[in-house]
Amino acid sequence: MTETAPLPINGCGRGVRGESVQSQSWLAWLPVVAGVAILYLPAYRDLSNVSADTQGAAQIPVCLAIWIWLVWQKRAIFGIPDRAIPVSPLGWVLVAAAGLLYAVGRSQEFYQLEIGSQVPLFVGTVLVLLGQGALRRLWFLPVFLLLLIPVPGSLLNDILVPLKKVVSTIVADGLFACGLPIARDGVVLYIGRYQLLIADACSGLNSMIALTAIGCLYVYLRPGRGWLATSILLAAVLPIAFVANLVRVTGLVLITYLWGERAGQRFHDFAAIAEIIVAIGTLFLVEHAIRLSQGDRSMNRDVRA
Amino acid sequence: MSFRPRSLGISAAMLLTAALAYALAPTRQVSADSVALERMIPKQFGEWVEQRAALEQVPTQIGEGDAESGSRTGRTLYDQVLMRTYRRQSDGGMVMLALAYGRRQAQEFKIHRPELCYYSQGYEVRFVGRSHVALGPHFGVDSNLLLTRNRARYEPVTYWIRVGSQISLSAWETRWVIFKDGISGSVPDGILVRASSVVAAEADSASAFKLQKVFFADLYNSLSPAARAAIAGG
Repeated sequence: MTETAPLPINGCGRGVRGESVQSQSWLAWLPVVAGVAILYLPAYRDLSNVSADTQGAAQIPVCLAIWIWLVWQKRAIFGIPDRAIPVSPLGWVLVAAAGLLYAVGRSQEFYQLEIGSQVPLFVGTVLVLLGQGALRRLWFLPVFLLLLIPVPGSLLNDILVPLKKVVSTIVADGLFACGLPIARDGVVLYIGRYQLLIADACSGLNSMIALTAIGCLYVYLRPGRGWLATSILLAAVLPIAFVANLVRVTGLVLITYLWGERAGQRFHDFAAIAEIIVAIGTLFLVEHAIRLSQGDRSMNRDVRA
Repeated sequence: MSFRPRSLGISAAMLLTAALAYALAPTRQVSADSVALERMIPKQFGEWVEQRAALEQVPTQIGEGDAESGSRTGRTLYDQVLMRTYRRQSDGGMVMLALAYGRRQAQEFKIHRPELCYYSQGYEVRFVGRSHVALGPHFGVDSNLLLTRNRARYEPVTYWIRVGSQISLSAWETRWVIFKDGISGSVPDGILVRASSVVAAEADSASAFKLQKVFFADLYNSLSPAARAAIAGG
């Protein structure tokens, strides 16, 4: 972590009186936090109830935890300053727009609008209470909130069905080239005496979104590179998530082949964690490769910057 | 005071938002007894007779877990499901009929499309095209034609989905109808109407699609006005 700022920024060096102002400025968040709880606790509860049906929400618990952790990291910026902040009409417009989005989304069970309303609400609230400068330092938080928006089930299906076909073809062809007795007929994989449904084998593809989120977070948390390295890393996030999935499906097929169907099913539970480790590890390797290929030149630039 | 007026203003806006969401929620819905498939769909009509030994059909929902999750949240995906196999007496032509009815359709809780049901059962699914099914002299609906295959079993499928008063052939159409009806205050009901046949080869699919069309027209012709409205909206 490079950006752990010390906590009491605006209370700094003001003695006792400054500290009491500090505590007041935190109390001012209470009505806002209460409002957020009233609006979004029921939203997330409903979403988790239907998420067995809509797997587009699979990334939410992970991303929500990361987001709260990010807020904690940036807590110093959330202290409401003493000095008057210029009135922000844009901030109020955003708060009102968020309200409309939420009301329509919640009443129509349109989770994308309901959860998505958090983005304008956050930006608007920061503008109104903390001002533009704070928003500039917190820009990553609303961007990360976008990742919490559940993917509509229909869109997920449109993307996942073709993707599953590609993944299974690559896995089957790859293992066949390695000399294993594997064949694919339509959406069924045959290996040894077992047959696997591609729909089941690839069900973990839903974690692509969570992996992408974690990848973006990794890129964000490791600054101090040139813009070129950053954009290469960002561009690599999706392919890496894809490769991590290939590894997972290959592992599942191999374990089923070697130790039977039961072992394969048990691997399902462990697979998600393995996938994240593979993804982060690969990102780390890519980052190192970029460092090496750029050589001392970019290192010097980083030091100067 | 320690509370700042601006933060109170924002929380007031949020309370207003919660109230607005409550006020906008649709309340009108179709009454529970308006559709009774078992009673509405005759076991014999025209030249068609229900087969005692029904052919095994692909379920109308994806996976088995969904039914459980539905009951856990106090919601079931379908209120009524009807599956029958009909045989035409003159030539022995067989058609499987599957109807799945849900009284309350929602964005993420709506009728499952056959594409995905067949896919999740291990079928390969190919979209053949859209086709108009003439149900009466002046009335018909559009339908989707699919060719599915599970190893040696080829199964051509004709289906449509009615949501509220509209026929929907894609998930996005369905979502739009649910949203539009919801904003105007009502929760639409929905029904999947699906006919399929088992054939030996891909080449036989054209005649199977034709047979399914004749089947739908004969069925519609035998129905009461309420049953016609239930399956085709008119």
